[in-house]
Amino acid sequence: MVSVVPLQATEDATRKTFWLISNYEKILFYFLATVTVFVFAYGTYNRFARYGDGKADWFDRLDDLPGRVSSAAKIVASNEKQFNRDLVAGLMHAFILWGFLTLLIATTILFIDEWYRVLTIAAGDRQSFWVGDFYLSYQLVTDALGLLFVIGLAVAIWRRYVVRAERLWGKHTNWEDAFLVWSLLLLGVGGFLLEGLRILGTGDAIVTVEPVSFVGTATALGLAGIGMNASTAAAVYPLAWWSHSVLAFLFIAAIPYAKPFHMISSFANVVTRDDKAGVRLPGVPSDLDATNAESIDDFTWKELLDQDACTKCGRCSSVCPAKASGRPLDPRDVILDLKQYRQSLEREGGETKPIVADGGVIDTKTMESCMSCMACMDACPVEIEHLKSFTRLNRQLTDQGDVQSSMQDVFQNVMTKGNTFGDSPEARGDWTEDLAFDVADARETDVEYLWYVGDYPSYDDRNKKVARSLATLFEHADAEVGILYDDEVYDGNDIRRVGEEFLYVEQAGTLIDSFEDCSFEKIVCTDPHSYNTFKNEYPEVDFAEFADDPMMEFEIDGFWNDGDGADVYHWTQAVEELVEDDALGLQGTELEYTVTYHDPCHLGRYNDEYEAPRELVRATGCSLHEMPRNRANSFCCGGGGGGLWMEVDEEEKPSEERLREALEDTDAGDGIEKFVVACPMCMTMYEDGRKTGGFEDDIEIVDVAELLVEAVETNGATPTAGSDPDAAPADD
Amino acid sequence: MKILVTVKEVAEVDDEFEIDGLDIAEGSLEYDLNEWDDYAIEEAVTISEARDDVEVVTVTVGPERAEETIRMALAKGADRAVRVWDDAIEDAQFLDVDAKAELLGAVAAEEEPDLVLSGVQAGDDSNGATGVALAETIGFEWAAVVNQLDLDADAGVASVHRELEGGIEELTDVDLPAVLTIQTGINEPRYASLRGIRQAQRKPLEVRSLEDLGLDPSVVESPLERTSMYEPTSESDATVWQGSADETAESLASLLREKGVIEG
Ligand code: SF4
Ligand code: SF4
Repeated sequence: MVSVVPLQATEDATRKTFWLISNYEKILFYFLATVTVFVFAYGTYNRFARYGDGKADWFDRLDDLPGRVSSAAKIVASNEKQFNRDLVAGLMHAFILWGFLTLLIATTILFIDEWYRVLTIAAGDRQSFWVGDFYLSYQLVTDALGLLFVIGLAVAIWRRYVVRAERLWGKHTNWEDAFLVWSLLLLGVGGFLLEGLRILGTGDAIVTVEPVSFVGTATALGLAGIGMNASTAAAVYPLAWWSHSVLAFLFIAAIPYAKPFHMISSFANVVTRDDKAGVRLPGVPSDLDATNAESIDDFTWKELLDQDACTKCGRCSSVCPAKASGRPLDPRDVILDLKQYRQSLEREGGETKPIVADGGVIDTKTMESCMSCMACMDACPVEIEHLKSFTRLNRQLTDQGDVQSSMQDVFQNVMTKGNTFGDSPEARGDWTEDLAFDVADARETDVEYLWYVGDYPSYDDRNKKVARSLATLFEHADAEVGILYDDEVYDGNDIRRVGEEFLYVEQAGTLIDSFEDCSFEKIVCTDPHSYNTFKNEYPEVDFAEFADDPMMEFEIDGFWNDGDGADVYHWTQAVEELVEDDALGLQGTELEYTVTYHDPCHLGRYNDEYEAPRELVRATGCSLHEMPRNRANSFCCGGGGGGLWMEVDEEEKPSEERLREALEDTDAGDGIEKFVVACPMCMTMYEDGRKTGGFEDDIEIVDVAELLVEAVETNGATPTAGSDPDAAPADD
Repeated sequence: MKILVTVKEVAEVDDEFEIDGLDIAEGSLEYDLNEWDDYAIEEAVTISEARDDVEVVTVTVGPERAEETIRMALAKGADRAVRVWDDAIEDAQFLDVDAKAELLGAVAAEEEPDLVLSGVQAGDDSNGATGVALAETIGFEWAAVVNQLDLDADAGVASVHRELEGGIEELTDVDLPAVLTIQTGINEPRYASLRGIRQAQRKPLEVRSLEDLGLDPSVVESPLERTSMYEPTSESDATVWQGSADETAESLASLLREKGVIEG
């Protein structure tokens, strides 16, 4: 449509700013603009000054600032996070963002030109660059992007008020959410109206006035269509101009005080993000008197910024398995409750409350409900690090002693026996006894792979079968693998997430001592939880801090291998290499099951390993069908973050919902025979969900290792040892 | 007001254990805070949190090793601890209820508490008598197996619910000073974190010998003597039947008939 209009690229194409506005009004305008800028600057300064008062964060988030800013700009400009799981919202936000930025830049150009004119007039030679071709392209671009801006806002308002998209509404939804969208819409629409009035008001033939301003021209035609003539347009123009200006000033002045601030805070939050947030947790000072979340003053500046960066979009809550199961947890509300409490103290001088307690700012049960699955963080478009704040709250609960008795038992077991079961440490290697071959003792022989078996595969009957399957695979592939037997202790990943940090450090130190006594090249883990903490957290613990602690009886001092840790693999990664080298002799046709695969949070979302287990499943010949929520969108089994041990009130177990998804929502219809897992905790949770959800006749839970062993056996190449003595599924 | 809580470190026997002479081999034992005492501590600490003039003191009869357990009690909020031990106690074969009541009674006499809380029983020897015997020794009022406690410290009265057999509860008012033996379930004991236990190392823990308490070594003598220790042979047998539900039900029925559990 635009291209058919002849562009009149004449040198004198421009328009007069402040058309029909008197010089007195112009002074008033500049006065108001100055006030607005002051209000804005004051509010923004105060906000940032408050972050400055927050505690230091645990690492430097402002290092390599240019690099951080440019990568943040890329994330924000591309809107990649907004497109995740929601195309319409992605487009909507992209339109508004780009429209807004364009209009902002346009206004800035105008401002600069205005002063350029003023200065050149003073110098005796009036000049302006806002003329000719530049002027015309300026008008075209602002009209086009302005139109997208208005469309984006219309979609936002449609979704918020007509469709009432559930995630947009929550207990913290209030006037500022309405203010943001409606004021921007009015600004966008008002801008076009003003343009239309101006075009109409010239009194010339409408389409000849400024055809490049196609929206303005269309508006003028519309106004003429409803009977407005040029003189009326010129008469109402100043009024419209003033309303538009005042609204713009109000909006700008309100930015630091309400939701529009997310334009700044969210960007700052993306700039200062930690790419490994949640995957690695900060340590605690060894100082015994340090506090975790006794008051809001314990929060770091980044945690405060997180709270202010939240746009209340509800994406986090809409993917939260705890919320979906009817548990009393809504991740958005936790972040915003903390913000509200902080503001109530600062703005209204409200009463202080315990941060986390029954009847505190955050309820104990809310924190007990979290499974540390990281779905919220993955979904959050502005990089809020929920789990970092949640861990702080959990640590506070531990400090206060507010720990469920079942969880206390687990802590106690770890403290006294070095495993979560409270079983004898000597029995740790007993699962190997049913194998027809020996599993090497890594304490006595040099090995390529030091296999950290883990608590569940060592002590839990169902998972011992997985351990034996994996041992069989290693044996079959002639891999040099050894285990630690009695010297293996619990890895600590989950008790760390529940908040018992000192116990975590104690276990980590003890386990690293065991590692250091062996000679190996790589560590391979059965359990993605241990894989995560070995890979991302152990190397960051400064054990020297605890060297004088009489209760920390480990020898490691300083960082493990100077902070390099060791080469750590999840077993699916190690075995995938073996399969690629054809060490298992698989044809890829051995099994014919129809299966689906569940991504464990700690392997997938935490550590980005989605393909190795899938390759292994395919290598057995099984036909693999994906659930709708796969890979980064996987839905937690409910076992993480202490969920395995915690008693919670819920309407439905996450595991039951997930099994339903497997049986109903894949493209295999109801044909899924096996639900394949790659994590012992998932195994336990799904074996349980299969029983309690009544899925026993419909689906079987198998570990990737068990499928592989079955394939190897089917192949005739019976492994060097009979795999499993008890064929029937064990109850545990 | 002052609350004295008697705390015991109990031995837990491993699944696989060995007997060494008249006792279970030390290597087969793990030590922990007595479960019932955990509830007694929680009750005392809860009272002290509700008022600001309450001191909670724990008293333990036990060797140095027991300090780990005592620190758990301190970590949970007790203010200070007393541990009674010396060679005479070490040498005694075991302490009977009277001996313990004497030792604890001597500490109570020094501390002059308004309220003494003890667990109903200890998880290892399960006498279930020490609390009441202590009340007798020091001449306090007492109530046993308390599962709910409302304290009116100003009036000097503890209103308690006592758990009787068959789900019956007795409601009683006990005048202070009194000894109450606390039943599990009366509250939800808090957790003593590792950091808390470390912090508790700064709280006072005083060791008292018989002499310090003005007691004669003969208090630990007992008319009782342990004569032997053995593991009773297991009398239970587990039979697992294989086969279909019908077959196994059949086998079970005939066994029950044979044993006289059911007739016909
Ligand atoms: S980590 Fe998972 S369970 Fe916890 S709040 Fe986030 S989404 Fe919910
Ligand atoms: S935390 Fe993130 S995902 Fe959740 S509501 Fe706030 S901005 Fe949205």
